[in-house]
Amino acid sequence: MSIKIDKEKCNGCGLCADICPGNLIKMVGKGKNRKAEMAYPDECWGCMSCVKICPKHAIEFYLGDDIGGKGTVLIAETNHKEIDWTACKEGCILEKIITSRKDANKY
Amino acid sequence: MEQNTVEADLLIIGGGTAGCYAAKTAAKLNPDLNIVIAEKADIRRSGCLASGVNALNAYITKGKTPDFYVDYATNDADGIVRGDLLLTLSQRLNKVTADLEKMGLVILKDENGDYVARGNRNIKINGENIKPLLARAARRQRHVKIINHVNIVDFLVDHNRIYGAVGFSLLESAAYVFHAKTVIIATGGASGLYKPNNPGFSKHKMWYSPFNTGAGYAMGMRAGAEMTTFEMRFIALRCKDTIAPTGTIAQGVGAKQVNALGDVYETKYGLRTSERVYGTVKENQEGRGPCYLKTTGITRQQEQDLYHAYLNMAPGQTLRWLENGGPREQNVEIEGTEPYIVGGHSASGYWVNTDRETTVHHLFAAGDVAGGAPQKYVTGALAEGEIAAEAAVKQIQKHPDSIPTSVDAKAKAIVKQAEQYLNHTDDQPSIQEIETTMQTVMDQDAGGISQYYGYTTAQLAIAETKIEELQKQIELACAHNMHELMSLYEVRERLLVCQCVIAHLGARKETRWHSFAENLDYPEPDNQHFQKYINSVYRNGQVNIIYRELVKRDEYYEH
Repeated sequence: MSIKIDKEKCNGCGLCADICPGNLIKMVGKGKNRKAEMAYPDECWGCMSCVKICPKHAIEFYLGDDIGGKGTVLIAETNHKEIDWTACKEGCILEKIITSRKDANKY
Repeated sequence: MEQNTVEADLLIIGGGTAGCYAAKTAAKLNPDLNIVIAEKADIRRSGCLASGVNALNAYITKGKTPDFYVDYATNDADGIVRGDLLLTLSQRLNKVTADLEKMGLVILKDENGDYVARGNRNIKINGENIKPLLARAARRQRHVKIINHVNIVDFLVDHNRIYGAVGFSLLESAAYVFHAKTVIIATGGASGLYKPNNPGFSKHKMWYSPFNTGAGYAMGMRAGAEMTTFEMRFIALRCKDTIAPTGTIAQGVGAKQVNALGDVYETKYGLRTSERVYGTVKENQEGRGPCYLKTTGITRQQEQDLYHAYLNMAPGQTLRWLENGGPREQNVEIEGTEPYIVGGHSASGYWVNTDRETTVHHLFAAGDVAGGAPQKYVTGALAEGEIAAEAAVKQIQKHPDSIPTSVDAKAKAIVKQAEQYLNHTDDQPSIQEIETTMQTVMDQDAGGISQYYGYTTAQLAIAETKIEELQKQIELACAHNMHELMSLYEVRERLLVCQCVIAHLGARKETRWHSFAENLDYPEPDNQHFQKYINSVYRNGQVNIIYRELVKRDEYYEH
């Protein structure tokens, strides 16, 4: 379970590096080339804090193949009202789920 | 290395659930206090609530009383709990819940505006943002200063009184020396002691936060603080591979635990937390595995609700279902995790008085790092943060004294030691290799997953020797940068916690809690000799065991 950071989408803001509870993301490069990099992919807890905070939706979450992952990624777009979750495989959208911030879990 | 000195009236180490709430409480009680939170990551998402939580599992529901909760937790731990701690915590559960709602937490209500209960002790929430809400509540207090990305490694103690702590930055080559009149330790429990379910690439896909490394326990041990009940390990029953929670499936859609033959086995072994784990272990051991939560046949709506619920606390499970087929089509395989030491679920941690002061003067403990009060969950950790903060604030007002000079010499020695770790050049064995060996030793010789959680006295002796050897190796390990320095300290802390766990497991010569402490030499409970706490004090490299009598709920316990 870990994350991938899309270097094209990353704007180098560093929010993900700040928020990671394991201090696992490093900022590398300078100026326009400053980008976030997952420095310790095998130390990720899978909490998705970075995925949720990224303003460019540049971070994808996936399950490692050692725990049955098959290449599907999960991304999240957050705003004050809701989190829009999208699961994609090979660029195709598999499922979209919206969780409203006002709704409690039914279970 | 650059050195920063920070002065505080109250230093809170660890800005997780208990730490944030302690800061808020102390600031409200005395707005003039200079309060500092020192946090290894960023308080907005640090600690075990990073990804969220699905329910508040400790709440006094309609018609129930705090005593009902104490009864439940006492029975679940077969009597080895601190009644005074459980009662004082239970009395505050609903008050802190109301406060959480005021902070912005969404709690499910019925048409009368009452919280909707899930069972007898739980209420339903949207807990995705619970940690950012708690962090905001702490940050909004005018005199609370938050220092993120500083990893505290040792206390500054003189004549059994704490005067501060020392830590190292993750962002730059810098040491931080904190001077404080009073300290609250709230660093959480310890994961990563045992080989995890998925030791490869997904090794950190575990139940508890892999970044909670037992640092608070280790610092306390080195300072001579008394610890309690480290033999009551916690093992969670989880969804296989993703290690996501099972309770939401079991309680949400009424899924029963079944073995490979389809037989419901969950009532066969008893309903205590430890017995639910043990049942699954036995079914596997006796050839009726794997075990499942029977979800096939649930409705499409129920499946969608489960997807939502898991996105709010363990998104990996929803992804897993989307990739491999949902719970309508296939049952969810379950397994026990590796053992953890965590005072929010079992009773291991600092030995505290009723006010949550440890045996080191001016050092308080709250949340998962504090012992004696299992089943405290999120709300119990908040209640303890509040209790500790109230007592700490009173103490600061009473003791406005200065810091002895010996403390600065201690701080210098700690910084010098860190510089030595950074200057070492021999990479053999690496920090990572030492950690992996430690986890293998604990797995094989101190009752890990591979041993179905059981151990013998002879195995514990082997584990003790091997851990001692690794403790020598870690002192020679080499850190190439500040991140590796943190990793080195984390392994060092874990090794010390392992030493304590091994000593405690050996001292409880009975089996009172299956799986949690499965002593194969003594497979039955022994009420005559072991209806008491096993405590310990670490001195000169040795864990010295102390037996103490049980403390009842109507007592006020002082050291």
